[in-house]
Amino acid sequence: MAPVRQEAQLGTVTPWAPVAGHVDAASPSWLERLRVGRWAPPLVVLILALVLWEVVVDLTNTPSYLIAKPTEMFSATANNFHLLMTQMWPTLYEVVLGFACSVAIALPIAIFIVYSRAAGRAVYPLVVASQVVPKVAIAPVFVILLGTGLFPKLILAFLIAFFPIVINTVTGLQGVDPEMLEMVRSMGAGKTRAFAKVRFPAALPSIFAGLKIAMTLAVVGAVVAEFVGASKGLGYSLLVAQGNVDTALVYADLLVMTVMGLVLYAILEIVEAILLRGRRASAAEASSHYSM
Amino acid sequence: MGIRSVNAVSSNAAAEAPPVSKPASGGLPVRLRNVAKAYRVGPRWLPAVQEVDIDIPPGEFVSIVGPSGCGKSTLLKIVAGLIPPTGGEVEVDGRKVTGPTIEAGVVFQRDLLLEWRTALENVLLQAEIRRQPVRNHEQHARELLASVALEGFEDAMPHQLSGGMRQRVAICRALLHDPPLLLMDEPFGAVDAITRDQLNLDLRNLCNRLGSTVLFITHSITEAVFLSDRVVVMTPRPAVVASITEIDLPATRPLSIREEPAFGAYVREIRETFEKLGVLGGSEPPAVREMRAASGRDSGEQGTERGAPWRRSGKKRS
Repeated sequence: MAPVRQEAQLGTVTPWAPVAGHVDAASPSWLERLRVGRWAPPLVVLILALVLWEVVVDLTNTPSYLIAKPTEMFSATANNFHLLMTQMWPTLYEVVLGFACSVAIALPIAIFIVYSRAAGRAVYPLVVASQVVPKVAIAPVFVILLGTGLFPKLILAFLIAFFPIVINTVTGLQGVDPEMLEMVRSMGAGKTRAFAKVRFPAALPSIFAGLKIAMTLAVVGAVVAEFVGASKGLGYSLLVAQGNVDTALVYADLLVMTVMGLVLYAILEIVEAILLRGRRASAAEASSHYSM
Repeated sequence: MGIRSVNAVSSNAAAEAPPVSKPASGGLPVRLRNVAKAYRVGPRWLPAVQEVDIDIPPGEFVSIVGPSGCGKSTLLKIVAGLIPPTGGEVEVDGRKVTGPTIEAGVVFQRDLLLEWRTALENVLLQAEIRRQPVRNHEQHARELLASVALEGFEDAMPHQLSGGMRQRVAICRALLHDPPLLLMDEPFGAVDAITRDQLNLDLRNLCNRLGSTVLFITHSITEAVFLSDRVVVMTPRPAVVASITEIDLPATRPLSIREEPAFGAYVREIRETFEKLGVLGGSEPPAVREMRAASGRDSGEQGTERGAPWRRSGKKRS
């Protein structure tokens, strides 16, 4: 049998003809990245837990000043809706502003730590070690120093949200494949272009892991600062309700805080889903360093 | 000297080059003089490459074959200007390489695609990094992808592509700026045999068309003979040049050329060099030391494999 002569021509032999539908099927849109299917099971469990809570409180006849039932919590929320909303705005403001400040300061510091060997050696160990300081316990210090206005809350929210962003950003930026950087260097990229085209985008999943932790912690920071000294806000409202033995309202305050935190977290998730669209899913959750 | 691809460009390009390609850019001459590289491992220096002298005229396709870990990749990165040699120097187009050789298109062992970019965007990265308007290159990028049978995959994300497809995207990226010098580091190592044959065909044709100078690292003797005008054989680490074989085959090479006697003779010649080096067959490398001693002017005086020859060039530097 004569050997088959393959004519050497570019692109004429195509054993890799595009498979119809292959690309579309595997490509996750940003909506798919949110994975609605993942939400349903925990939602069911949550509802079951609420029902169990209601039933147990009912059966044990626990007085309502000791513990509120979910129905009481929801009705207290509805009855005091206007009050809760007016108390929510200051807290929301503190959280968002504190978070924004921590992002604005933590990202440049992380970049500085990665690019400057001196900073990496001198500053980074301190940043890591300072995580041991119970930041919530610093709240009184700031109230003494700065009074009961917006500022101490801002600072505490900032301080508590700051570290996870720095640490995750540093980890992400340092984790970039060195050969990727070599590759763009061979094309003539300097540090700036290598950062913009490779290093930063490669670190994005890790940065978002840090941002999400930071967002939940910023809520903690703002509320704790309000506990220590405030004249408005959800933390303040909660303390007042506690003083009045209005247990249902305490729970309603908690519910509003939780929902507020969830919404802020969801906004971040959506931004992340949009920015990371097309990437392999689950890479985002791979590295997250929890810190408090 | 074999039939060089530069000669073939005029006849080939006019006849069969698709409207795709810009006119052949011609190649750059590359000269390696006494290139040496040693790495510091703990307290001592381990030489990776020693005393390598290779002269590549413009438009020539030169392959470097050698056992794995012999320092071939190091050599390529030195030519690419990504790592500095610890001795000797490299000249590209008559100029000494001191930083990245940005005229070159570099294909690495791994495809190094950016996971967050589509195939097309990955190819266009070359233009973006060079601060050239992406719009001017998009058509060329599409044509390059089509020329390696990736038409229809322009918008696919890297994780949706197979290993061979990814590597072809990486090759297109390296070719976007019509590089007069192509540096390829075992680009087909992770690719299955059939795809590899196809990529070899494509690459040989492409080089005939562009007339670029190519430095190609591989550990496949057949691949080296099929693609190259000259094949450089390296010894095991620390690597020196063991032999240089001229491949006198026609510029246009169908896969079937591999069954021809002349092709087989070249393969045998190179294989026998490896056997002499002890890389294939035997256990002890009897000829390695001799060759190293012969290639370096006065190296290997102690008979110890590491240290001595390089320490000398270190002194020269300081």
